[in-house]
Order: sequence, then structure tokens, then C-alpha cells
Amino acid sequence: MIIFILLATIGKMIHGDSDDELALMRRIKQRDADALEELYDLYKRLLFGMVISIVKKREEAEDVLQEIFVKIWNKADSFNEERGNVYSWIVTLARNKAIDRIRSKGYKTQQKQSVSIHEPLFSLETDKHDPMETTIFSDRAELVKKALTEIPEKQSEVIKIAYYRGLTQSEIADYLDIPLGTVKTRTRQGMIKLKRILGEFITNDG
Amino acid sequence: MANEKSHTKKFEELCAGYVLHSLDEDERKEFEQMLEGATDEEQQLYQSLASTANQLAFTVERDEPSDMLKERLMDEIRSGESDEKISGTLPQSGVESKENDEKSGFSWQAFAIAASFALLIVSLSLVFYSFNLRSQVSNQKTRIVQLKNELQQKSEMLSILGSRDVDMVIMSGMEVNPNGYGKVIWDPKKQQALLQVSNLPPVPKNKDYQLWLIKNNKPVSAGVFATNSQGDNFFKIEKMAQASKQSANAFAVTLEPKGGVPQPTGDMYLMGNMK
Repeated sequence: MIIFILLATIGKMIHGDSDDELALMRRIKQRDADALEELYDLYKRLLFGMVISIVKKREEAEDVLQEIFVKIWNKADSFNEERGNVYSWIVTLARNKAIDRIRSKGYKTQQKQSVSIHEPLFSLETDKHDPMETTIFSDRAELVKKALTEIPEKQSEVIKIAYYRGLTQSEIADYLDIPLGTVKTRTRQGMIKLKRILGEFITNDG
Repeated sequence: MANEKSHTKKFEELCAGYVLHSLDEDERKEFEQMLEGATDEEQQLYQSLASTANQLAFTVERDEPSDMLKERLMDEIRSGESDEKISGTLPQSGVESKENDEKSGFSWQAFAIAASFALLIVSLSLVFYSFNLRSQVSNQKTRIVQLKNELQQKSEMLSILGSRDVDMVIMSGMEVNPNGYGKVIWDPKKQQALLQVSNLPPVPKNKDYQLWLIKNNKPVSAGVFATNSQGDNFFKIEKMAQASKQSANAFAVTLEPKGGVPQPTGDMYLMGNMK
């Protein structure tokens, strides 16, 4: 019991994770399906938004979202409280899944005609307020949005396209009709600046 | 130096693309190799750029999946169908599985550290507890000795009462403290006496009460005593000055400098004549 409390305290001190999320992950590790359901409710909108911005189609996105949570369920043991926080672990896992999907060969040929790269990108500026939204994310969102406006637009542009659309740097170069080297330089400069601006809010655990 | 710098720049460039998952396949592999031989500083840069990329997810516009999806997912989870059927390669599967191995190893280490820390705390509390117990036992022992002494005193006093020939002198309060009273129960043969006083004010620090036997109209010291806060006390007086009922006239109590004086100097608190 003491060990448990101690571990929890140490974990919290190091990562500043929300107790709820950590507790949920622990219960998931113990095969508590209700905990996975709670985690799903907590993350579904964020992850679905992220996945759909990459894979575009709703059915496809729902499919990926299901795969993401099945993977969380199966790989919960590989989540290490000492090494990273719940949010980072889940977001990384989800993005891997989504990008995996669009870069798979079958998907590329299937989508080639249907994806229009000229459809509106993300709507960062629209501030859709949802009263159901958990407050865990909203403050951070404002900080990151603000940080994105503080770096040169040309740099934030390539970062946004890469992150929200899941395009490779070569695809971005084609899309923006600029040399690949320029995309690389802008990405590097932009990410380094973002890192500096967001630095104080980032723990090194990824 | 310049070479080193360009290496850093190259590392940064690939790293920024890598954390955004926007590198082409061959560059991705190149960076993963680079990462394996990376300096601590480069590792740290990779970690913080990865964190930065993760922060971007906060700004994603939320969207609501259908309710059906949740049912489908939970059915799959609860039926156990999903258990360990995950396969296929991830873009970062090489790095990830390596990280996972490291993670589980690290977890045990962290667990061991936490466990030993907990053990240390438990041991320390036990040591503290045992010290506490020891001091409690020692306190109890002292208390037992006190009680034994008290009991012995009381039984000695009672033995005075039990003697065949005892005289009792009743003393009354004097002007300075009219409410006080006391008794001297005196066994002239054994030269022992039992003094009881009541309603005497507690003695100041540098003072004592002194009992006097007035013998042939001269005061002879019969001992000093100090009252407790209740002002109700019994004292046993050993080696009472030799005096017979005939030669003793009275008993008196005065307040004197600590340790007593040869002749009374202070205020008289109690006084009682032989009958």
C-alpha cells in the first residue's frame, strides 16, 4: 500500500499527469474494460479530430480510432509512468496509426483520386466552444495556438500541413510548389522556435 | 568544428521532420540510425521536439465519432477478441519496440528503487516506533519506581499511626493564611512524626515551609517541606527532635528561606498547642 502511494506520488511529481488519466491507465493494465471506456470518452473527440484531419474519410477515421483504442488496450503494459505521460503516449500512438493508414500502399491508390489537397485545411481560428469539452485540454490548446502565431507564417504553414494533414515533406514541397530543401529548413526553424516558446510547458518525457 | 555544426543542423532538420512523421521512408531510416548514435544533447533535442509535436494535438479541431463506434469498440474489448491480435508494421516500429524493451526494463528498475525507498521508510518508521516504545517503557519504569516510593512512604506513615502511643497536635491557620490547618501525629518513642497540612499556599521557588517543635519555649527545627499545588500534603518526619510530651509545648509552621534556618524568621502559617 505504501509502495503504491509512493509510486503514485513520485509519478505525479515527475510528470504532472492528471490523476484521472494515470488511474485509468493503471486500471486498463489490470484489464478493466470500464476504464478503457472512460478513457475513450475522455479522448475520443481529440483523437477523432486528429485522425480525420489525416485520413479525411469518417468511416476510415472511425476504423482507425477503433484500432487505436484496441492497441491502447493491448499495449497498456508498455506504457511506463516513469518515462512519459498518458497524453503523449496516446497521441503518439494515435498519430502513428493514422499515418500508418494513409501511407499504406492500398490506401494510397484507393485515395489518389478522391483526396483533394485544396480542400480547406484546419480551422485553427474558429473557436468552437463545446461545453462538454474537458478542461484538461482547452488551456493548453490556447497556448499552442498562440505559439503557432508567434513564429513566421511560412514556417508554421509547413508544420501545420505536416502535422494536421500527415503529408511528407516531399508532398508538402509539391503542394506548395517550393523546393524540398526549403520545406526542410522551414520545418527545422519553425519547430526549434516552437520548442523554445512552448519549452516551459513541456516535460522532457515526450 | 564546422563539420560538427553541420551535423547538428542535419540532425535538427531530420529530427524536426521525424517528430512530425513527415520524412520519406529512406530519411526516416537514416534518422533512426542517427538517433542510435546520438549524443545526450541530441537525444534531449529529439525528446523535446517530440514533446513539441505532441503539443500540436491540443489544437486539433475536435470531432465527434458516432456512438456506434463506442459500442463496436467495447464489444470487441469485452469479448476478448481484440487481445493481442495487433500486427503489421508501424512507421516507427523499429524504434518503438526498442523503446518498449527499454521501457519495461526501466520500469522494473524504477519499481525496485521505489520499493527500496518504501522499505527504507518502513524501516525508519519501525526504528522510530521502537525508540518511542523504548522511551515509553523507560517512562513507565520511572513511574513504577515513583509509585513504589510513594507506596513505601504511605505505609511508613500508616505504621506511625499504628503505633501504641501517639500524640496528635492539631494546628490551625494563622493571620497570613487563616484557612490553613494541619496535624502532627507524633510517636515520641520512635522519634518519628507524621505531618499533614492543608490549604497552605504553594511555596515560592526559593522558600520552604519549616516545622518547629516548641520545646521549653524554644523553637527546635523539625524539618522542612514544600507543598504541592493542591496544598494538601502528608510528610513523614524522621529523627524528630528528642522531646517528651511534657517538654514539648507546641508545633508551628513558618515560611523560611530554602533549606530552612536555625531559628524561625518568617511568617507563621500554622500553630498548635499540646493539650
